[in-house]
Amino acid sequence: MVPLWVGVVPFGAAYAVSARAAGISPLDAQLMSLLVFAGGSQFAAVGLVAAGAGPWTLVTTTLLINLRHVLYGVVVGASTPLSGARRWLAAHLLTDESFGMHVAHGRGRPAFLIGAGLSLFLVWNLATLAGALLAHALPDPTAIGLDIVFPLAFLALLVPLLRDRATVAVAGVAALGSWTLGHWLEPSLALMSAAAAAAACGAALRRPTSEPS
Amino acid sequence: MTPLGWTIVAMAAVTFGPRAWGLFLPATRLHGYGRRLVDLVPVAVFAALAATGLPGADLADGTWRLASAALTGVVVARTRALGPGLLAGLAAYLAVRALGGA
Repeated sequence: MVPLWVGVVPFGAAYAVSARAAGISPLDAQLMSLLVFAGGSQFAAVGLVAAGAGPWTLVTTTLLINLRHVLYGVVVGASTPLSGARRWLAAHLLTDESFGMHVAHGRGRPAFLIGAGLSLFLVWNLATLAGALLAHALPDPTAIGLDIVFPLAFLALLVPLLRDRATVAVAGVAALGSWTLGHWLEPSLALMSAAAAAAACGAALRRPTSEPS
Repeated sequence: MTPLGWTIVAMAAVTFGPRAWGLFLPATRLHGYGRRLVDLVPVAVFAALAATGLPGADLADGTWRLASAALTGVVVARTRALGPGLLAGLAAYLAVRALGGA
């Protein structure tokens, strides 16, 4: 998890800094990190608030950005037994990063899923708090190149899953589709559409005999 | 609570819904097409997430970002570990930036 924290900390702090610049109080910025806990939609919300958008725009945009989590829930639900409070907690903690760590190391292990999610939740919220308190002293993580942590992390999670020609083809189509659709659609919607289409086509074309056990 | 606070509560609700949807589906063992689909979703999602974040600010930056990604891919393929691959790609990219190459 430590390499992912390297990326989460500066962006959590940057979110708080940009929230303050947009006129969002530290209390509301922290509330968003606690209740929403989704970096992409939190940054989008800050931009919308700064642009004077209304509540419905914020809520609708948040829904569109986070629709991709449906795919994550289906995969986690099919591979990992969760019940009662653990299922509610896992739903709140399900992010791109915790899903990635779960697929790579924690399939079938509810404690791993929740532990990974909780560690990211704690780091993201502490970084938000630090960013709110040190707003004027922190550099923009994108300006110093740290934004590359996330694509590299997802690439590192992807490589061990490329076991045959079918998985390589699905990855290629999803990557190209997401990049291409991103020119016309909201990035998260482009990502979800491309990933769902690539996986659906790959599953239809893949021979049952090549299924992993 | 402030008006924005109530909006944040609504944002939390529409975030929790998609996250919970799959988790709260009736637990069933998947076979055939459903099983293959669920196995391929992580591959497609990780590839799309990586592709979305990799393009750089300009041609030089984009080239170095792709080179760093290639280094990460090679190290992960050889070590089968996330940490060394991620740190190798990150260190290479930050070093190139520090030297003025990106």
